[in-house]
Amino acid sequence: MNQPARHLRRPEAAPRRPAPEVPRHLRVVDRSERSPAQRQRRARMILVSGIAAAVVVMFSLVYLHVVMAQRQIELDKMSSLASTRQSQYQALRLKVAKLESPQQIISTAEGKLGMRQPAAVTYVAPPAWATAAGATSAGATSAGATSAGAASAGAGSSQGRVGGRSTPDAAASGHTPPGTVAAPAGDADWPRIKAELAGRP
Amino acid sequence: MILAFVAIAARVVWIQGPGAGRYLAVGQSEWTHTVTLAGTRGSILDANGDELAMSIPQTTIYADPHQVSDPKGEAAQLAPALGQSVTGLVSKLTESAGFVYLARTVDDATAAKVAKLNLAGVYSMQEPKRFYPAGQLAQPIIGLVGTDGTGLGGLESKYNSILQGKPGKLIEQTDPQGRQLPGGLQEYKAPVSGQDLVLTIDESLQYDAEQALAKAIVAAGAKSGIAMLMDTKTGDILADANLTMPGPGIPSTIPAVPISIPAPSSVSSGSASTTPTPQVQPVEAASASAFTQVYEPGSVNKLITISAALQQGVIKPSDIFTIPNTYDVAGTTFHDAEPHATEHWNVTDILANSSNIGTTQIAQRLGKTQLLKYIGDYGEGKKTDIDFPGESRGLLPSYWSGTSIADVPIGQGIGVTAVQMLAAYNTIANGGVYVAPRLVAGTIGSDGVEHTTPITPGHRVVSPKVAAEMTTMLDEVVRVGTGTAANLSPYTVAGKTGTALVPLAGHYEAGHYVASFAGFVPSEDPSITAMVVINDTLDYGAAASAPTFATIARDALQQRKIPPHAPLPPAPGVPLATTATATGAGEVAGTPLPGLSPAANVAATVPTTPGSKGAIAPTTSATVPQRQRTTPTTAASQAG
Repeated sequence: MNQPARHLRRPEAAPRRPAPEVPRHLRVVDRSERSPAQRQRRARMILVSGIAAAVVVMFSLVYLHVVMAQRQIELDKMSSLASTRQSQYQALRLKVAKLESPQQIISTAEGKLGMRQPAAVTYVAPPAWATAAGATSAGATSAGATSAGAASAGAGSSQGRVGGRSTPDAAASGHTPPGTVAAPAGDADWPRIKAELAGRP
Repeated sequence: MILAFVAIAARVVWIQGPGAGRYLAVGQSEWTHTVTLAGTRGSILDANGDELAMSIPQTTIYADPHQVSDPKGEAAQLAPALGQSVTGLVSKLTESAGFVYLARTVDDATAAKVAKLNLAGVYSMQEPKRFYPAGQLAQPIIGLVGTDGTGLGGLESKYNSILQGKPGKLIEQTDPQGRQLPGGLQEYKAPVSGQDLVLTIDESLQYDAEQALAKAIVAAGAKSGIAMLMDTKTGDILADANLTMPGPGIPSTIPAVPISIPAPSSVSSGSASTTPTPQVQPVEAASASAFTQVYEPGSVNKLITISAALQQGVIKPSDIFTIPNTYDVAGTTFHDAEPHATEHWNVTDILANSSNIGTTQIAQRLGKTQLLKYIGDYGEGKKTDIDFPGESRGLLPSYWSGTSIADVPIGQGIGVTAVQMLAAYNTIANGGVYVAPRLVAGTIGSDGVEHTTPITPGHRVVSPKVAAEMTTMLDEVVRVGTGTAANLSPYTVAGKTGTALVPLAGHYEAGHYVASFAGFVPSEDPSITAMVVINDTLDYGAAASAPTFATIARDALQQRKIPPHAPLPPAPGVPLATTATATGAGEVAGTPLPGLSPAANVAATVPTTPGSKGAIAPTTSATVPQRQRTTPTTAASQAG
């Protein structure tokens, strides 16, 4: 236990010395006390280790470059794919925008679907009770029909008007215009409401 | 021998040592490439987010002539793929340069064909190309960009710095085939995309407006036209159609506006819906005429005169004016559009009949100073907040002659833009508050966050009471006056016709009118304010513009799901119109009464206003149009 570890690990490497006297004290062996053979072995071992390390490093570098090249190729492929997909997306975006343009919609509707623009617009006049109910729920103070034909219910003026204007006198009198119905009780009246609306142009 | 070795060794040491920098730089220049990455130009979107303009990367084919060994052979292969002549390509491939464009921003199919050829010295790269998915729609507003992606006109130019974005940079090491070397990326700075511009324009309404305007221009035999729609409350311009007939200054490459929607018979002239589409059709104007073109508004300007007089308290709606057939001002005789006996009209009658004499009398009570003040308050004579490229301030009288008090109140001798007049009517629709027109709703940054354009606070011009009074009177114009062709029952329409003479070669010439109509719907709770101007036509505003107003207003009401409202009673103290003129009754839907010419009674002599210039120059004579039934003597007027 008092000798250097090296001597303990490799006792068979060198001729066994005669058993020394049991030292009284431990001491460090001076380099000059090593034999030339020991020094040669040590140098050889360092050289072999260095060469091995260099080989390992070299192969590691080669491997690293190979991996990098592979990754770069993979990256290039993915970049190319992303670019292609991006181009496809942009092209599709443009296509959608063109298809959504009014000119295209009109062209498709008229050319492919056979649709036609109406020559005139027909306004459906809701029953008077509907507008009255709406006005009441909205807190409005006036109620009346909303079409030229039903524009006979107005509010608050001393002057009657013609041609689509209000005729407050009729409203003030509480007269219900012809063609209107009383307000229904609720949704259960839908069949009747529907029939009412269906009868309108 | 030894010396030779020493010299060689010394040279090697020099090359590897002190002189290595030079060779290293040469080598790096061979494999290191710096690429500028263009920031994608932002899109221009309509109010609903639909693209009106967008940039898409496309392939650009270029060549390095130094690397081309067989120019003729390569040109022969490239020619069919690129659709170019062999001669032209040979010329490009033999240029003494290291870079030459062969074809820019080609489609994907063409790019694929060229790539398949795999020609030496021929390369490709990506460049953004501007597309307009809706074609020419709203082109005068949107503008255009050059091949380098810079805005050259319209909003593309005005907002170029916002749309353009910032370029990025890529420094990489590549192999001879242009592939990046492993680990060769040295620097990458990502480009910043431009911001998207969100307009207030609604693509559908814009299309409808252009369709209706194109029909109106053709039907009226006019040279150009403007149709505008505005959101009453916000001042947002929903549509701005600017069309012109092909002619000098209009490139023949601009496609005509394809007319596809038949005009409803109830609101338009019958000829427009039944006449076969003519060969010559309107095209998009070179610029946004609504902002850049100044015209004399004619009778639509009476709104300002009468509302100003009401606001100043110099008249009341029920005041009765004696309106003779002719009226002398500073030695010049004025008359109305239609000859009539001496009438006793209230203010509503004056507006409904578009009486020039009545308006002049009102203006005389108001006075020059107040009249000009209100003209300014309504926004005439100054640019709008939009500040559109090339926008005009309009022309206010630079000289006030004795007859100016008769000219200016009826919209002659003054120049405005369509957007100014639209904003003036919108003021009445808003209860007397001027709301600045707005064309850009905001921007969307590359981070996706929308930044809304701040709304300029409005300013009050007239009181709510005066606005309500004017609304009732404008209602009457459409109900029984000159604007009956704009009737949109069951909706209530408030509006005014205008017909002004067009100055040609320094004088007015009868038969050349600017026919306009401005108004708002529904009048009891306005949501849409609209303006139609038909330029250089033989028709009056009632015939040429009012039906188009009705068409585009109806489309806007339907599209925005605005139901008809119960009509309100007239404003207190405002009498309803008691008289309708032949002009108003006879020009409904653009069909003048038999024998009655729209051009009748138009000024044969317009008063001289020394000092006037340009578009408001005085006239000394007028050509009597062929359709004219009666020839006025010395009367001066314009028709509403």
